Amino acid sequence: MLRVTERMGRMTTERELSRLGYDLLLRQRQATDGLRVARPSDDPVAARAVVELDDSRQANAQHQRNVDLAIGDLDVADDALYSATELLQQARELALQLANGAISTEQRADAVSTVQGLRERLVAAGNVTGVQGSIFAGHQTDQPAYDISGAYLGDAGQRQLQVGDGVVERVGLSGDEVFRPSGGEDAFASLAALEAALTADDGAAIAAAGARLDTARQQVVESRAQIGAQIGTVLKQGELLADQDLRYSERRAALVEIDGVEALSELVEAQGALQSALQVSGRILNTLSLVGQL
Amino acid sequence: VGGLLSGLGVGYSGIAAARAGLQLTSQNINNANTDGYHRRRIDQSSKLGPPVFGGGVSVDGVVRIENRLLGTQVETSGGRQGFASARQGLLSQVETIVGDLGEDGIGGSISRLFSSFSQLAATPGDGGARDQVLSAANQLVNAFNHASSRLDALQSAIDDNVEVTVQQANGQLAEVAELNGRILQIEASGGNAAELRDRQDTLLAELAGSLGVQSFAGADGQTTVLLGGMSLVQDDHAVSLETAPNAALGGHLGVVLVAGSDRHELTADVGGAVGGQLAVRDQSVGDARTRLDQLAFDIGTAVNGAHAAGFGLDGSTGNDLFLLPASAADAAGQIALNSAVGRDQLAAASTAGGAPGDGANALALAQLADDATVAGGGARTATQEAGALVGWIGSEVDAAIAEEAAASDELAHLETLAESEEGVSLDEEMVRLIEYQRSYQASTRVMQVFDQMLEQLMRL
Repeated sequence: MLRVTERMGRMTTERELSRLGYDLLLRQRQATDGLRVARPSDDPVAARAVVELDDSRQANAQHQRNVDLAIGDLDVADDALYSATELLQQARELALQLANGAISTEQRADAVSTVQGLRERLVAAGNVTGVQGSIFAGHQTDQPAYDISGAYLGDAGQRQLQVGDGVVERVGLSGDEVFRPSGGEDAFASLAALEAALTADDGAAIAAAGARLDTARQQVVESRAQIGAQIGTVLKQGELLADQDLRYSERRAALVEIDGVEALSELVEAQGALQSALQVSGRILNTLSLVGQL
Repeated sequence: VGGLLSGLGVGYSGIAAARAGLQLTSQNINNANTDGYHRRRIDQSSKLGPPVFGGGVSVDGVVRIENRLLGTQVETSGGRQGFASARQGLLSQVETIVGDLGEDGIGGSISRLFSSFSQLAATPGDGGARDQVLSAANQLVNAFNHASSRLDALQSAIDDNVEVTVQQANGQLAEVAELNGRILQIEASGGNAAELRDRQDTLLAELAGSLGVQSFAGADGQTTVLLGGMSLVQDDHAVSLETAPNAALGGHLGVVLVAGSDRHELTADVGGAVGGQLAVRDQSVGDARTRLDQLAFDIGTAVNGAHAAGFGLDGSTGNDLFLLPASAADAAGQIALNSAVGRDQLAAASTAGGAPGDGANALALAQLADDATVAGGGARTATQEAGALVGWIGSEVDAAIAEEAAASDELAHLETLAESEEGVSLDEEMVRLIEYQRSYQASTRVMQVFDQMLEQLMRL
C-alpha cells in the first residue's frame, strides 16, 4: 500500500494549483485579446496559414488602392474625352455651318478666333492631370502631353496597374492613341486645317476640315468607349477584391480568434476550477491529519 | 537480589529506547518539510541478558529509509525534466524572435515591401511612393537584422549561463566528494551520517537537473558521479569541468572535463538544464538562423536581380537595392539597404531614361511576391517561406511544451513514489510519538515495581 505523507499532498496540490493557475492565465488572455492563436506554438498550422493570409490581405488592400487610383485617373480621362468630344462636335458643326457659300468672308474671319479657342480647350483636355501626372502623356507624366500648338510631347508608354494576384490591367490611353491614332485623323491638325480654311475663306476646305473633325470626334468617342471599358473592368475587379477581403477577414477570424461567449465561459470555468481546487486543498491540508486530532 | 537489580536494568533499557525513539520522532517531525530529508527509524533489538528472560531492549542505530532504485530513476528523470524545461523556455524565446505574427515580423515586413512595389508601379513618379518603398525595404532589413542580433544575444546569454552553471557544478561536485570522505569516516566508526547523505542526495539531484549526471553507490557506500561515461567524482576526489570556446560550435562555449593534463570534450554528453540550453543554442537557434539567413538572401537576391534590370528617375541602372554577403551565411545579419539607392535611383522604370510614368519594373518587383521560385530552395514564394519558418518554430515549441509536460509528469510521479517511501508522514509520527510515550511510561512503571520489590526485600 502506498504510504501517504503530508509532503505528497503538498506536492500534488502545488502542481495542480500551478496547472490550474496557468490555465486561468491563458483563459484571461484569450478573453482579453480575443485571440486563440497569439503565437505560433498555440497552433503551428494556423499560424503558418495566418502569415500567408495576412500577406494576401495586405496585397489585396494594395490592389484595392490601385483600383481606386485607376478609377480616379480613368474618371479624369473620361471627363476629358467627353469635353474633347463636345469640342470637336462644336468645331464640326461650325465647319458645316461656315462651309455654306452664303457665309460671308467676315463671318468666316470672325469664326477663326472661336476655332482657336476650341483648339486651346482641346489642348487643355489633352493635358489633364491625375494622381500620376499627365493622363495622356504616356510615361512622360511629369510634363504636359501637348504644347500650345497641339504637338504631342508624350510617348507611347502604357500604364499598367496590378489590381489582383496575377491581374495586371492597362489603365488609360496615350494622347497619340486618342487624338492622333496611327492611320487615323489628327484632331489638332483637323482644327488647324479648319482655322486655315476659315482664314483663307475657302468653303471647300472648310467642308473638308469638317469631315476630318468628324472622323477625329469618332476616334475620341471610340477612345472614350475604351476608357469606359477599362473603368468597367477595374470596377469589377474592385468588387472581387472587396469580396476577397471579406473572405480573408472571415478566414483569419476563424483561424485565430475565439468566440467571445466561448472565451468568457472558459474563463469562468477556469476560475471555478481554481477556486474549487483552492478550497479543497485548504481543507485537506488543514484538517486531514492526526496532528489536529490528538 | 541480582534478578531484581537486572530487572531495573531491563526497565532502564526500555526508557532509553523510548527516549531515543521520541528524539528521532521529533527529528522526523521537524524535518517533514525539509527538501531531501529521508525519514529515520530506530533500529532496535532485544538485548542479550540472563538466560530465559533476556536483558531488555537495545538501540542498535538509526536507519535512514532509502530506495536506491527509485533514487536512480528520480535522478535520471530529473535530468530529462531539466533538459526539457530549459529547452522549452529558450525555444519560446526563439519563437518570439522569428515567430512574430504581427505586421512588424518577418512575414509582415515582406508583405509590406512587395505592396510598396505595387504602389510604386501605380505611381512611379510619386516621391511618396518612392519613400514608401525605401521605408518598407528598411523595415525588412531591420526585421532581419534585429532577429539575427537577438539570436546572437540569446546564444551569448546561453554561453554565460552555461559558464555560471558549470562553475556552480564544480562546487557541488567538490562537495559531493568531500561528503564521500566524511561519510566513510563516520560510518566506519559506527556513526550516523544520515544528514550528510541527505545533503549529498540533494546535491546529486541538483547536478542531475543541471548537467544530467548519473550517480551510483559502491559497495563501500561511496557515491560515484558519472557524465558521458567519465567519472566526475570518485571516492573523495572530484575533477573540474571547464567551459572553453569550441570552433566546431561556432566559437561558442563547450564543456570540457579537466583531469590533470587530460581534457575530454563532454559537450555532447551534457544533459539536464545545461544540455537543454546547449541543444537550443547549437541546434534550434542554428536551424532558425539558417532559415532566416537563407530567406534574407533569397529575397535580397531576387529583388536585387529585378531592381538592377530597371532604371531610376535619374537614368541610373544596374543598382542593387540590398547589400548582401556573397553567400547565405549570416545574410540576415548583414543585409543592408544600398545607400547608393535613394528616391531617384529606385528603378521603377523598365526603359532607359527612367520616364517618371514608367512603373513596369516596379510592377516586375511587385510580382516577385507571387513568384514561387524565390525562396524555399526554389519551391516557395518569400511569404510562404516566412510562413514555413513560423510553422516550424511553432511546431518546435509545441513539441517542446509537450515534452516538458511529459518529463515533469514522469518526475512528479517518481518523486511521489520516492516520497511515499522516504518521506515523513506526520500521522505515522504521531502514532509513534504516542507509542514511545506509552513505552516510556510502561518502562518507568517496570522500574517502579522492581524498586518496590527491592524495598520490600530490604525490609526483611
